[in-house]
Amino acid sequence: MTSDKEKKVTKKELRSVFWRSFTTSHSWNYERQQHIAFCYSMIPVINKLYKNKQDRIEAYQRHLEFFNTQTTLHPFIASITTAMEEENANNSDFDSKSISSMKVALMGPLAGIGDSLIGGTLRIIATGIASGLCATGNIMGPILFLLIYNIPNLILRYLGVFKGYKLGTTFMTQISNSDVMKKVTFATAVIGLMVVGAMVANLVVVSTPITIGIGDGKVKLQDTLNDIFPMLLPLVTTGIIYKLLKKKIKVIYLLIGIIIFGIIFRALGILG
Amino acid sequence: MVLQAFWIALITFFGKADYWIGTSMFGRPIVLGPLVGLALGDLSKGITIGLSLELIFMGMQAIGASIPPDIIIGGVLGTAFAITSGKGAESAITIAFPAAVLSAFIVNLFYGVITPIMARWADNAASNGDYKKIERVHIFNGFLFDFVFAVLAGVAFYVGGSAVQSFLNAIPDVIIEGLQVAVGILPALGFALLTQMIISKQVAVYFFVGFLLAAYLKIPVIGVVAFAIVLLAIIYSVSSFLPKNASLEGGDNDDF
Repeated sequence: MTSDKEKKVTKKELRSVFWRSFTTSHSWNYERQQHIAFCYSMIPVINKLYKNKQDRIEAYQRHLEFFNTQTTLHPFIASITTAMEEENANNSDFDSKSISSMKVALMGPLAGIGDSLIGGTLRIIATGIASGLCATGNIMGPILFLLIYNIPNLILRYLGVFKGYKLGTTFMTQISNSDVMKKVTFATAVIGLMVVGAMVANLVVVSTPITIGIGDGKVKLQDTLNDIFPMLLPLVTTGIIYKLLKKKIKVIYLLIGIIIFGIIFRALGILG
Repeated sequence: MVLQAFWIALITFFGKADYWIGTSMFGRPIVLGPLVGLALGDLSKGITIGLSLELIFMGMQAIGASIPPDIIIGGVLGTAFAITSGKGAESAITIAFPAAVLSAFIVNLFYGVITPIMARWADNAASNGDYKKIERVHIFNGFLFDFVFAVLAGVAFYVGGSAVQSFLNAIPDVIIEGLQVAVGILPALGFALLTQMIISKQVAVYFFVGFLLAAYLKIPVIGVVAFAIVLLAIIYSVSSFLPKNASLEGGDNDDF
């Protein structure tokens, strides 16, 4: 394979990423959130870079894993990911795990920044400016609201794709030396796992309404747990599910099991 | 009336399909209110009521697994009932509220049950290399979601607020609350899958570092990343004092 370094995405694929990344919140779900939309936005890139069927399958599966960020910043993460996929397609030493770690390392902090600056501040500013016109029933009110929100939104999306890709490829050429690459793989895995750990504490909601004792001596079990080991129940729950996955239990059974489990344990008053 | 109900359904569909067009805020009451006003023949009232509802819903945000009353259904039906009843936005929202709560329940049903099951179709398609099917699942699921709420809003507008309330009362509490518990747990499945994807023997411990920082110290995710970066800097500076063969990338013989 002499033409190894020739696998490259073009403007065409980047434009597809730009358009497809508009669909971030469609097919959203509690289990893996924006994953289908993320995979959808990566499909043109994957098809361009990988000719081998097995490589494609692995890439589709890689991008069907959990993903969640602020919608405006999805194109930025997708284009960094594109640069990494390009490196993966050309460099047989590249560890494809680092693509997933990089996504996780980026999506958490960018979700935080995006939610507060774009979903929060920018939207509130747009509402505030438009509200004067809206109060008098002027149609310019809602139009102004949409313009103030969407012009920065579109610019960020566009720059996210094209600048993000440049940033990603520059970064990739700098780290393509295998010793540096190992360090980067390690670093993204550490950041990624710490983010997942933090998200388990923040986003998995499991608590118990059980009380111990009677009358004035009643103690809420959850309060006691919070004092000793906060978020113990979400951690244990995630650990059990992880173990079950390791035992090769099908995800669909786990999914249905969780729903039935939720209804039964709520009915018994154990969780809620 | 039927034609108006159809417009209400169409506007709701458009509001929900905002998720397809970049979450560009087309689903906010400040935008949907004027459209409802236009459909019901009173544009300027639609604009002012849209603003009132925008301010009412501004503070409502999803926290953890509890979904607030549906903003799009609340915005569309709130404006519609305000115009048809001639009352203010606040009293109109109380008529629209049962439909908004009902649709929050259906949102949970989609996010917690229907879409995760459909996501399996995408997984199967991926393992067969059938990317066209992944695309079809994405498009079908997304627009099915939009369509269901469009029908809900159209019907709710047609039958009126009290009929929706009695339907809502007919759903057993244990189902609604049980589903609430289940959707709190579901992200754990997503995180477990994700962890499998990026974990290796030598880095497993960092999962717990992140967890403990968030659980005990309530540090937000951005802060956890900052800690991770500092921690990496410390690891690298310490590793420069170690003998060469005990490098960071060692540990292939760990038995995890």
